[in-house]
Amino acid sequence: MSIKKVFALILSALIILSVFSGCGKSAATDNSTNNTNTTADETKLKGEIEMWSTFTELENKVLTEKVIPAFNQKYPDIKVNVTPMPSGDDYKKKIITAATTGTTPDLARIDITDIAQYANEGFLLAVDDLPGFKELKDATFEGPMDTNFFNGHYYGVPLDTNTKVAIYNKRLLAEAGFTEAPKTMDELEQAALKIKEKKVKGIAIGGANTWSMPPYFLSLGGKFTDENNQKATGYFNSPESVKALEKIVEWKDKGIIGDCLLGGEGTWEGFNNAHYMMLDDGPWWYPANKEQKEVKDNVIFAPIPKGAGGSVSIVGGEDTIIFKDSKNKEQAWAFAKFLASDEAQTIFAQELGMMPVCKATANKDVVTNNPILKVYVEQLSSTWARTPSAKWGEISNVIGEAFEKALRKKATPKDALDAAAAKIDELLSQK
Amino acid sequence: MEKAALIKAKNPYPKKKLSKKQREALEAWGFIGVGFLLFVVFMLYPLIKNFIIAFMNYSINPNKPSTFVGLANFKRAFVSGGILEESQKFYLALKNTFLAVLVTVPFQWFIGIIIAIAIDSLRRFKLFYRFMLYIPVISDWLVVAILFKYLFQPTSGSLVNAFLLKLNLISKPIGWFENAGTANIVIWSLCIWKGIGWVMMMYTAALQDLPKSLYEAAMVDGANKKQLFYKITLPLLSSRTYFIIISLIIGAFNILLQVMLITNGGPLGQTDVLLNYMYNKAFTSFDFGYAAAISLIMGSILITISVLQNKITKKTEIEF
Amino acid sequence: MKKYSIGQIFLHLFLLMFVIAAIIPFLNMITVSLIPNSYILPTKPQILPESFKAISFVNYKKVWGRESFGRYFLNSVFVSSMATILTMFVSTLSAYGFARLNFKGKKIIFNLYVFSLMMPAVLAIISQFTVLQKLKLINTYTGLILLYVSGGVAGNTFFLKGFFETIPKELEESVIMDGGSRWTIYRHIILPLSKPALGTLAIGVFTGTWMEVFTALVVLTSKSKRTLPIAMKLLQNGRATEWGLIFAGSIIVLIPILIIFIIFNKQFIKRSGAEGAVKG
Repeated sequence: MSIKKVFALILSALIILSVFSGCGKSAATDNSTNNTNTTADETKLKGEIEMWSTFTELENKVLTEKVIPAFNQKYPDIKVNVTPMPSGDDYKKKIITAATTGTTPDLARIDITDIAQYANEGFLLAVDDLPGFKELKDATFEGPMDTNFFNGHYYGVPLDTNTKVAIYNKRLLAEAGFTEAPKTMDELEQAALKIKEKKVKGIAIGGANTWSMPPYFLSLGGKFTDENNQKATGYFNSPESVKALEKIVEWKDKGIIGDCLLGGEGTWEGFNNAHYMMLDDGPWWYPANKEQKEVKDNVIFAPIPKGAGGSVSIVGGEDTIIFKDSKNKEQAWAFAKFLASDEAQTIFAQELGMMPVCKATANKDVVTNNPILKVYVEQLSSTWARTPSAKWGEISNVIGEAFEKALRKKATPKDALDAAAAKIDELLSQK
Repeated sequence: MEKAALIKAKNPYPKKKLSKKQREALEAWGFIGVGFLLFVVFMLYPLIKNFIIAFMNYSINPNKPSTFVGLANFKRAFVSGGILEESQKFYLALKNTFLAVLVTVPFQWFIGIIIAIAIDSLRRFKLFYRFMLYIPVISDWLVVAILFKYLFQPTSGSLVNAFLLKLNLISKPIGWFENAGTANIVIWSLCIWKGIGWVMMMYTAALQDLPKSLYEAAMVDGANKKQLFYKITLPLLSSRTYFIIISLIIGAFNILLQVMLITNGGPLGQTDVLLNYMYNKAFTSFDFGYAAAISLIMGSILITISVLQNKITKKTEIEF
Repeated sequence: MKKYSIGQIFLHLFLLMFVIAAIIPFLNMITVSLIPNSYILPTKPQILPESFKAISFVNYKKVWGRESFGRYFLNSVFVSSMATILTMFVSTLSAYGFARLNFKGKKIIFNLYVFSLMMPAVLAIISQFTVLQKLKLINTYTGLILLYVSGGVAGNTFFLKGFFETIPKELEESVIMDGGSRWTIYRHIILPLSKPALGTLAIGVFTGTWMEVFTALVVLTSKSKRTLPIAMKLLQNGRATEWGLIFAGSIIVLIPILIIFIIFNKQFIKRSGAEGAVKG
C-alpha cells in the first residue's frame, strides 16, 4: 500500500514538474520567436511546401498563377506546390489516412465544420502562438475567424468565407405587392401569403438540415447553444426557439414554403421555374444561374429578413490549416497568413468574386462596387458559425431530425426541441 | 512459356523422399502461395485489426491512447438505452438491410438468369443485348443515383410518375421520398437496375462454359431440347448459383452509395442501412471502435447466412 | 422452322423491353451531357435532346481540355491493364490450386477467403496504407496495383474455383499419363477451357479498377500519377455542381470499358461447344 502511495506521489510530482517545465519552455520559446522573428526575417525563409486544395479547377488556377506568384515576390525562396483534392467524404478519408501515418502535406484547405474534429484528434497545429497571429486576427472578420477556434486555441486561419442572403424573383415579388425586398419576417410571410394565390410558394427553404434552416430559425429568434457552445438545454428548447420553429411549421401548414423543405423540387429548380418566389443561397448561386430566364435582370438580393432574433444568416467556407507533422511549419505559416492577407484576398475577390475574409478587402472597390457581393459582405457581420465541436456531424443530425420531426408532425416543436437539446448536451459533454 | 513449363515440370522438387501427398501439397502452395501471401498481408491483417478495434474505444491518432472497453460497443448497438438511443438506429438500419436483401436479391437473380438464358437461346444479336444490358453495371454510381433521384421526382412531370399516371396506375403523383416505404422502393429499384446486368454476365459465362461432351452424350441418347435444358443446363447453372446468390447478398449488405446519394437515410433516418450507418459512425463521428463493432456484426450475419445457404444448396451442387 | 422464328421474335421483344429499361437513364445522361452550363437538371426528364440545334459538345470539350487529361487517361490505362493482368494470373493459379489439389488447411484457407468477402473492415485502408508505408510503396503504382490484386484474390478464387471444378478430370489424367506436370494442365487444359469465365472475370476486374477512386486517391499523392476517376471526381468541387460536365465526364470514362467489353466478348465469351451440339 505504501509503495503505491509513494508511486502516486512521485508520479504526481513528475506530472506537476513536467507541466511547469513545459509551460516555462513554451513561454520562453514564444518570447524568443516574438523577439527574433520580425517580418524581415520571415521573408528569408527557404524551402518547399505542399498544400492540399479542394478549390475548383478555375480557383486553383488563380491560386497557382496569381496568388502564389504574389507570395513569391515577398517570399522568393519558398516554393509552394498545390495538389488539387476532391472535396467531401473521400477527402476526409485521405486526410485521416495521411494523418495517422504521418504523411500529411504542410497545409490544407479544410471545410470550417471539420476543424474541430481534426483538432480534437490532434492532427492540427495550434496557430495562436505563432508570430503575427494577433495582427491577422484583428484584420480578419470575426465570424470566419471563430470557425478556427476549438478548446481554447485557434487551429487555422480563414481562407474563404461565404454566407447566405435572401434572393427574390423581382416579378413575383411585385405581384405579391412588394417593390423592394421584405425587411422583416412578417413582411415576408405577408408577401408569401399573397403570392400563394398565384400557386407560387413564397419561401424556398432547402431542407430540414443545419445548412438550410438556421437563417430562418435564428432570425425568428431561435438559438442553438449558449455562447460558449457548452449547452443546448435552455437554448435550443427555449421558449424563443420553440416559437421560431412553430412559426416555420405554421408557414408550412399555410402552404407558403416550397416542397424543397422536405425533399421536393430543389430550390434552384423551383426558383428557375418560377415555382418559388424567394430562396436563400450563397455567392455561388448567381454565377451558376444568371442565364436563366427567371434570373436575368429579375432578381433582388437582400439581407435575411429581420425577426425576433434580428437578421441572422449562417457562415460557411474553408480555412487553411497546418498539419502537426509538417516539417516546414514556419514556411507553411507564412503562406497561410498570406492567403488570408488583404493582398491575396483582393486577388481572389477580383478574379473570382470570392467573399473576402479580410476586413480591409471588404472596403475596397472590388467589393463595394459589386452590388451583389456587397449584400453578402454586409450579411457577414451577422452570422452564426456552426457549433465548433468534434461531434458536430452528429449534433447536426440531431438538429436536423428535430426540425424534420416537427415539420412532419411526428412531434410538437417543443417536444422535438426538448428531446434534441438533451441529446446535444450529451454529445457536447463527450470528450 | 513452353520452356518455363518444362523447367518447372522437370525440376520442381527433385528429392524423391517426399510422399505423394507432401508433393501435392508443395505443388499446391506453388499455385496458391502468392495469392495467399497478398491476402494475408493486405486483407487478413486489416480484418484482424478491425476485430481488435471493435473491442476498443479507438483513437485513430497513434499518439493518443486507445482503451479496451470489452463488449461496450456491441452493447451500444444491441441494448437500448441512453439519451442518444443508438440501438434504435442500429435496428432500423439492420431492418432496412434485411429488407434490401429480401427484395433486391430475388429480383436481380431471377431477372438476370432469365435474361441470360433468353440471350443464350437467341440466334442473332447476342452481343448487342449483352452490351446494352451491361451498361447499367458500369455506369458511375454518382451519376445514376442523381438520375434516379431525378426520375422519381415528386412532380407529375417526372418520368416515373408520368408513366404511372399514363397507365392509370395512380391518380396523383407520388412523393417518392416522403415516406420510408416509397423511398426504399427507389433505392431498391436502383440496386436491381444496376445488378441485373451483372447476374446476366455471370450466368452467361456459366452457359458458355457448360461441357460440350455432356450435351453430345445426351444427344446420342436421344434427348430432345427441352430435356437437355432441364436435365443438363439448369442443374449445371445451379452449380454457379451459390456463388452468385452469395455475391448478391454481400452486395445488398454493402448498399451504401445508393442510400447516401438518394435519400441519405431520410426521411428521418428511416431508410438508413447498416453500411451507411457504419460509415457515418466512422467518418462523421470518428467513432471507429463502434463502427468496427458494427462491421463485425454485419460480417457475422453474412457468414451465418452463407453457411446456412451452403448447407441447403450443397445437395444440388454438381460434382464431376 | 416457322415456330422457331416466332419464339425468336418473342424473345427479342422480351429482351428489348429490358434494354429500354436499362438505357433510358443512360440516354437521359447523354442528353444532359449535351447541355452547356447545366447547373440544374431540366425539369422534364429528357430522353432525347429537344432539337439538334440544342446539342452542344462544350462539356466534352471542357472535360477533355482539363489539365493533364491525357496523362490521367494513360495512367489509368496502365494501372488497370497491369492490375487486370496480374489479378488474372494470381487468381487463376490460386483457383486451380483450390479446385484440383489437396493439401492441409485447404478448407480453412478457402473458408477464410470466403468469409473475408463478408467482413467490411472500416479501417482496412488505413491498415493497408501502413503496410505500404513500411514497404516504401506509398505514392507508387506498385503499391496501388498490389492493393488491387490483393483485394481480388479471395473473390476471384471463389469465382473461378467453381468453373475449374466443372472441367472433366479425364482430360487431365491423359496429360499426367503423358508425363505432364500440373503446370501443363493449368496452362494447356484449364485456361483454354475456361475462356468464358476468364473473359467475364477480366471484364469485371478491368471495370472495377478502371472506375476505382478511393484507394487510388489514398495511395497516389502526387498530381502527375493520378488516375482518371480522381480527375473526374475533382469536377464535383465547388458548391455549384455543373451536372452536364460531370455527366460528360462519366460518359468519357465509360467508353474504354465498353470497348474492353466488346473485345473480350468477341475473343472469349463465344458460344463454342454446346450450341453446336444442340443445333446438330
